[in-house]
Amino acid sequence: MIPAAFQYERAFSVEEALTALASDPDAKLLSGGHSLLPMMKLRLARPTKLIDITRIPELCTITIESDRISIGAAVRYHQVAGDRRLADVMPLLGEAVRVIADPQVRHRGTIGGSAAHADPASDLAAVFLASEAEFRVLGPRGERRIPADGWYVAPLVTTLEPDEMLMGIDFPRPLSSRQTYLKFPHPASGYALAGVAALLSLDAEGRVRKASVAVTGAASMPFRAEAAADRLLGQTLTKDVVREASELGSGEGEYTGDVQYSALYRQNLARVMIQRALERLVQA
Amino acid sequence: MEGHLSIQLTVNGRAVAGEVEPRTLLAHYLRDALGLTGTHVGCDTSQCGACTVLIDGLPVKSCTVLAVQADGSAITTVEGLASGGHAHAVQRAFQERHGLQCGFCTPGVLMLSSWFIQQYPTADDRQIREALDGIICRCTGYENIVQSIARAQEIQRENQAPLAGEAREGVSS
Ligand SMILES: Cc1cc2nc3c(=O)[nH]c(=O)nc-3n(C[C@H](O)[C@H](O)[C@H](O)COP(=O)(O)OP(=O)(O)OC[C@H]3O[C@@H](n4cnc5c(N)ncnc54)[C@H](O)[C@@H]3O)c2cc1C
Ligand code: FES
Ligand code: FES
Repeated sequence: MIPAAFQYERAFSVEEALTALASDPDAKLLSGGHSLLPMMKLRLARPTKLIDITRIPELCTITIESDRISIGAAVRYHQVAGDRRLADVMPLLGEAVRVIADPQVRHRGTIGGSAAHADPASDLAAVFLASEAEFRVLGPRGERRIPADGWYVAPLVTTLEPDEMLMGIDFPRPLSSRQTYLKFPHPASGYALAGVAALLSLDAEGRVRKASVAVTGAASMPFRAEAAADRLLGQTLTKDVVREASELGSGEGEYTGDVQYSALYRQNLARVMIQRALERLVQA
Repeated sequence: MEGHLSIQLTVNGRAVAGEVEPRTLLAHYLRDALGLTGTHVGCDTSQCGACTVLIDGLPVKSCTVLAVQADGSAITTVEGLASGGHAHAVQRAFQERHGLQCGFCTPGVLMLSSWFIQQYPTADDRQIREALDGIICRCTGYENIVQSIARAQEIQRENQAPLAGEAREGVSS
């Protein structure tokens, strides 16, 4: 299968990319190409121009500062997985990218591509939501910072305007030290049938000081399980508390069944996976 | 040619320059323009990994990479695995352990394996199976592929320790 014909342009700077994007309403940015090219091969997408952003230096860096971690939009999954400094300050991110697809896909796919493509089962969506990430966007009208809560609008739709570019994703520091991402992959596609990112910090008495849980894949949209976090706050992590939090948290998604998995099954799976993720953090 | 772009690659150590349409997939460029038909196109939907080649040392699915995206890179295909007339460790191991049946998936499996044993020389069976996630083999049931990769790790170790080998031979003779 061969995509419909298009023009290709390689941008070496942010300005070049934005100018090229503004000059053609049917142009698209090309990052790892592992969502866009398969869609173009099936002719589900027919952009007239692709603007390759993977050689723009600003988009390819990982920066760790005292109050934040910034990942450039064109940083590839395998680079995140192999970054030792990141493993120290945000193990959650490496844990999540290591269960995306397979080694070959991880050598191409990028953090920004995953965010911009906004597949409702994307593994990173749960990580972005749970860690309160902020999306840095640049366009002809200047820079915007969009919190993860306001990023995902609908399946494959974000708040990004067609002439804007995602520059990178910032994670606030310090993050809760107990973090995990747990995935139940779809047996055929490998995408998350339910993926749960959870972060917890405890006080000296072992009571929950901060909690954050997000779920991808199970519901029609990735969501933050606020009610789970609320139930955990101030509590000691007993079996009952964890069970109740999982129940409440999974109840917040909007589930739709498909040929293989009913809405009820999906909600139950979300509950089980939240519970397993929290149990893992109790032991951590 | 109109709408074509010039690209320069190093393919199996040889400099290559060409003119391609932007929509030309790397797999097709290798097969049709360069005649390197060892790289197979199986699913053409990014699933099977038969088209796996190394770009700058990393395995990728060449049916999901544009030739223009690879401009300036070094590509290794299955034709470039052997060097100086010597089969690569993975080639020897797959032969010894029967890591293939029909052989259709094999070029991709070999390319992935060549990267894997170098990157994770002591990986266990579970890790080998995990690495094979991006490969679909319809024949072997993977069992012999896993064993072949484990064997390739051994061969690699033997190759890397020629001095120790010589010393052992010295003692036994
Ligand atoms: C076989 C296979 C299995 C997969 N399995 C999984 C999985 O298990 N879990 C998972 O989460 N994902 C999975 N994916 C998807 C993969 O993670 C994609 O790589 C990712 O979703 C898109 O990233 P990309 O860099 O390839 O983006 P591209 O394909 O290059 O781009 C995707 C979209 O985002 C836009 N875009 C890209 N970068 C920017 C930017 N900086 N600013 C604005 N717009 C931008 C593009 O224009 C395009 O519309 C899989 C993909 C394949 C092929
Ligand atoms: S042909 Fe490329 S993954 Fe199957
Ligand atoms: S040997 Fe036949 S597909 Fe793998």
